[in-house]
Amino acid sequence: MLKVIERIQDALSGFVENTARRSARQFGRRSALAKMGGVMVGGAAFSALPFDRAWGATPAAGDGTFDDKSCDYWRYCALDGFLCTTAGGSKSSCPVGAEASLVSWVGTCHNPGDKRDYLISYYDCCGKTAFSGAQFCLRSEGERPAYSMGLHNDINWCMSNANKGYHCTVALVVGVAE
Amino acid sequence: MTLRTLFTGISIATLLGVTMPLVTSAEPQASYGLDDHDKVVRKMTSPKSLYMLKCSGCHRVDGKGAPEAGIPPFPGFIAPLARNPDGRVYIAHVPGIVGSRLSNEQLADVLNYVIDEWAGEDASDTPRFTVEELAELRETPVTNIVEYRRDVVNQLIESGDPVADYPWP
Repeated sequence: MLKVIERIQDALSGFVENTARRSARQFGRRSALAKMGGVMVGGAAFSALPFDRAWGATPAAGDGTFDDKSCDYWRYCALDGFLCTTAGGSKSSCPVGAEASLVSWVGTCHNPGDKRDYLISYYDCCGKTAFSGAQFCLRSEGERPAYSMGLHNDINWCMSNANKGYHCTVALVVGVAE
Repeated sequence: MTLRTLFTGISIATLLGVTMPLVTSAEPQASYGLDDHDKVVRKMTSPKSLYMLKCSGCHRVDGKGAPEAGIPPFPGFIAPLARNPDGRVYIAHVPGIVGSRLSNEQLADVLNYVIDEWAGEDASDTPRFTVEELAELRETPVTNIVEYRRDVVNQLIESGDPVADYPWP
């Protein structure tokens, strides 16, 4: 029970952190520009302000987009769980003592490096106790509530295995979205 | 022009400058709830990629499924199922098809990919799916998929065809 509460707390703190980061990324630059504009003399300058039509959705390089220990890593766009890269494994292999789930969650992620969309399979690593120092991430972009079961990721994929204990999640490139 | 009128002018220009871009940007977002992922999937045409995205999570990359977790394998079982008319209705109503959000074109392609890959020797006498047939099959009412499957399974057993294990016999 304590573990469940701990996991919920971790999920909440991860979510809040993620939201805060995202809102900082989305609003920081624009409000700074607005303040600068306030100091500047001449209203005409305002109409030249760059208006963010992407709603802050484009990740800027250098924010973890290419760091596989960061939630911002491009392959983790639909991930919900602990990063195996921070729990003794790698981005594509489970840590020693854990086995990959039989079933997995597959999504598409955009790689800003080559501007292509890839199919990413998120396997949970099972049968090993969760490591409290691991980085928790909740991105699940494109996820839908449980009434769209095919697009719902709030699931312990270890349920298909004999050892159902969840340890961490890896992100395998399984193809190109073409 | 006094200093005061100059400032008033600047304030009005500022107000205009601030409000104008907001007004022009009030055009509706073109996506209407379609997020980037949906857009990517809608453009996908490769049957293999569609299989990887929508089916491989459970049926696995090799089509062998996870029988111990209730996901039937394709090899040895998909051909007899796809040769039975009621089996085709069943296929058009499995959860992966119903919840896929793919177009009938994409679904027909991905189902034919499954037959091409895993019907084995029977592939040549297993009919493929057309878009028109699939649209019709999907409109056939199936209220209880497990019950419907039971009926199909009985037909297959009667004709001597192999039937995959299933957690709800």
